[in-house]
Amino acid sequence: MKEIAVDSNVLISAFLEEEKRHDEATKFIEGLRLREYLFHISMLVPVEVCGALLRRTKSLARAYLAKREIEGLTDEGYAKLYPLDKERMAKAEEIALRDGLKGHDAVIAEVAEELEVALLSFDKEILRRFKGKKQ
Amino acid sequence: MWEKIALGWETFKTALGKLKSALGGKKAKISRRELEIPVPGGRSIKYSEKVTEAPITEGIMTLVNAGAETILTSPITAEGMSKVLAQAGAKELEEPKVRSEKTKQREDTEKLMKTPQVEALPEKENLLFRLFALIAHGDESFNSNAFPESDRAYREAYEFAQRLHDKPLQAICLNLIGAAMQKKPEDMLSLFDEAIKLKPDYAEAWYNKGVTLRELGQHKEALVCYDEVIKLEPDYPEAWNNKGAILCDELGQIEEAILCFDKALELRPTLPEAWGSKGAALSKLGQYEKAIPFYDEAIKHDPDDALSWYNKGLTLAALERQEDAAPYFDEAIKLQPDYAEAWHGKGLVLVELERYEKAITCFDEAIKLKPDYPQAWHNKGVALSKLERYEEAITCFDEAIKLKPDLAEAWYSKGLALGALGRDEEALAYFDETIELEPDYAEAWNNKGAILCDQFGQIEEAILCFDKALELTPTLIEPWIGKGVALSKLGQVEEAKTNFQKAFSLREKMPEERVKALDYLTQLILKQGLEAITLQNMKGAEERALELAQLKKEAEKDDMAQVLDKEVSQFREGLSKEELKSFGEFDVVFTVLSIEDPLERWKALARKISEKWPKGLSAVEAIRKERQ
Repeated sequence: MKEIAVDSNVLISAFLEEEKRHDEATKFIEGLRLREYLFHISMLVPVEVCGALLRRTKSLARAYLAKREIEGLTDEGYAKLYPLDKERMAKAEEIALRDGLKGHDAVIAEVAEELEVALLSFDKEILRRFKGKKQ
Repeated sequence: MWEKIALGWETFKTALGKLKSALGGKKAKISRRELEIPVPGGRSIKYSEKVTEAPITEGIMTLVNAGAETILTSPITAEGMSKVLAQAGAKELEEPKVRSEKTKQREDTEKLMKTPQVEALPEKENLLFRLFALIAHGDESFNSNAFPESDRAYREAYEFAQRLHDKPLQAICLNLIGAAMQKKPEDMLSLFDEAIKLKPDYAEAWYNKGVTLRELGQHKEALVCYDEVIKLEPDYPEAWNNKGAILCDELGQIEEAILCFDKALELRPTLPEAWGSKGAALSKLGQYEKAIPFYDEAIKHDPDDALSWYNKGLTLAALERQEDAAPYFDEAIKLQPDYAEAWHGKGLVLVELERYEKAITCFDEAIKLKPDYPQAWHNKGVALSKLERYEEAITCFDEAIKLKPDLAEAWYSKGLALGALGRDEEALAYFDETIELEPDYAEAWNNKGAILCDQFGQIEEAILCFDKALELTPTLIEPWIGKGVALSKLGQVEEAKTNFQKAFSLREKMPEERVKALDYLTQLILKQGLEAITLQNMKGAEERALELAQLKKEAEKDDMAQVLDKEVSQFREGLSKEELKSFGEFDVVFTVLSIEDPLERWKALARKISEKWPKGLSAVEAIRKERQ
C-alpha cells in the first residue's frame, strides 16, 4: 500500500466529471478502496473541498454529500486526517519560507514532509516549488 | 345407520355353535358382529347378545337348518329365502310376468309365505319366517326408495313380533319402522322410545334416538343417547363419530371430539363420516392443511358424500386456494343439487375470485333453496357491495339482519355500505351495533375509528378505536394506517410513520393496502426531508433520505418501488416553485444516498456536482481561488 499526502484539487477533480484529470483522480479513489493507497490529508483539505463545492455549485446538498464522502474515507481508515497544531504550523512556516509556497500550500505539503511520503497535487505551481517528495 | 358385514360360513358356524350353547342354557356371550346378517343395500338384521336368550334364536336356527349355506351366501331376501325353500324341497316360484319391481317383491314375499313348506312349519317358526321375509321386503323397498311400502312391511313384521310376544324382536321392528321413517323425526322419536322401553339395552334404538334428537336440535339429549350406546356397545364406531360431531359442532369441545373420531376410526377405518368429521374438527382448529387428507379419505370411502366434498371446498377456501376449492363445491352440488350450503360456499369462493356476478347467482340459488339463510343474504350483499350496488346490498343486509338479528357481520357490512354512500352517521350507528353484538369485531372498531377520524374530526376517540382494533387483531393492516393518519393529523409525525411502517411490513396483506401505507409513509418522509432542506438541516435531510432509500429497498423486494417513485413524482407536482428548488436538493441527497456501493455513490455524486459546476473552471483553479 502506498501512502501519499493529497491536495484538495485531487479530491475536487475526482468530483468533476469534465475535469481533465478526473479519471486519474478517480483511479486514486478506487485505489483507496482496494487498499493500494492510504491518503494523508491535512484538515484544511475537507474544508477547502466543501467550501469550493458550495460556492461553485451553490448547492448545500452537494457540498454536504462531498463532506460526507470524505468523512467516510477517514472513518473507514482509507485516509488519515491531520489537524493543524502549533508544531505543524511551525513546520509549514519553515516550508513556506524554504520553498516559497503560499501559506495554504505549505500546510498541505507539510503533511507529506512530516510523514516522509509523496505529495499528490494537480497544481503545477505547488509541485514546481515544493522540494519534498512528489507523486 | 345399519352396517353391512359379510359373514363367512366359518364365522357363522361359530356363531351358530354359540347360539346352540345359549339355547342350552349356558348364556354364551355373542358379539353383535357375529349375529349380523346382511341384506341388500348395505343394511342388515342385527341380533345383540340379549336376543340370543330369546326364543327368536330357535327360529334363526330353524331357518339356518333349512338351508343354512344358502342363507349365508346370499342375504335374506325373498329371493334368497325361495332358494332356501327350494333346497328344502319347495317348488320353484312362478316366473313373474311384467310387473313393477315393488309389486314383484311384494308378490314374491306373499307367495313365499304361502308355500307349503312355510305353512308346514310349526306356528312359531312360521311366524318367524314370515317376519323375516317382511323385514327383508321392507329393506328392499326402503333401498328402492319405496318408503310407504317399507313402512308397511316393517309394521306388519312388528305385528308378527307382537304375536310372538318377543319383546326384543318387537324393539327391532319398531327401530326399523323409526329408522325408515321419512321426515317425521317426532314420530320416529316415539318409536325409538318405545323400542328402548321394550328393550332398554338396545343400542341401535338408542343410537337412532340420538340421531333423531340431533335432527331436532336437541344436542345434549342426543349426546346422552350416544353415551348410552357406547356404554352398551363400546365398539360402535358410528356412536363414537356422532358423539364427536356433537362435541365438535355444538359444544365446541374440539379436542375431545377428535378423540371420539379417532376411536371411531380405530374401530372402523373405513367409516367415511369419521374421516370427514375429523377433517372438520381440524379445520375448526385452523389446521386446514392437516384436515385435507382426512377429507380425501372420507371421499375415497364414500365418493357420493356431498358433505365431504363441501368441507374440503371450505378448507381449501380457508387456505386461500379458491381456484382449487371451486370444483369441490361443484361436485357437492352435482351430488346434491339442493345443497344450499354448497351453493353458498361456491358463492364465497367466487367473491374471493372477484367473480361477483356469478357469486350473486350462487347466493341466489342458496336463498331459493333456503330462503331463511341469513349468511347467504349477507354474502349476496357483500358481492353487491363489491359491485358498488350499495342500495341493493343494503336490502340484502336488512334481510340477513331480519332473519338473524345477532348476525354481527350483516350489521358491519351494512355500515360499510352506508359509509360508501356517504351516510356516515348511520354507518357509525351500524358499527356501534356490530361492536355491541360482538365486542371483539376488530374491523368494526377500525371502521368506527376511520369515520370518527375522517368525517367527524374526533381524532383522539378514533385513535382509541384503532388501538382497540389492533389489540384484537395486530395483523390487521387498516388500523395501523388509520392510526398513522390520525397521528399525522395531530402532528405526531414520527409516531405516524411507525404505524405506516408497521402496516407496510405486513407482507401477507393485500397489496393495495400496503400501497396505501407506502404512499402515506413516503409522503411524510418527503415532507420531513423538504422541511429539513428548507431549514438547511442537512443532517435531518440525510436521515430522511436514508429512511426513504431504505423504504424503497423494502418496496423493491415486493416489486413496489414504482409505487414509491410515483408518490415522489406526485409530491413534486404539488410543490410551489420555491419548494421545488429545495425539493431538488433533497432529491440529490436521496438519489446519492440510495446507492450503497461507495464507489458508485461517489460517481453518482460526481455527476450531480458536475451538473452544477461552472463550465471551464478547473479544480486546480477553484482551489487556488479558495487559497487567495
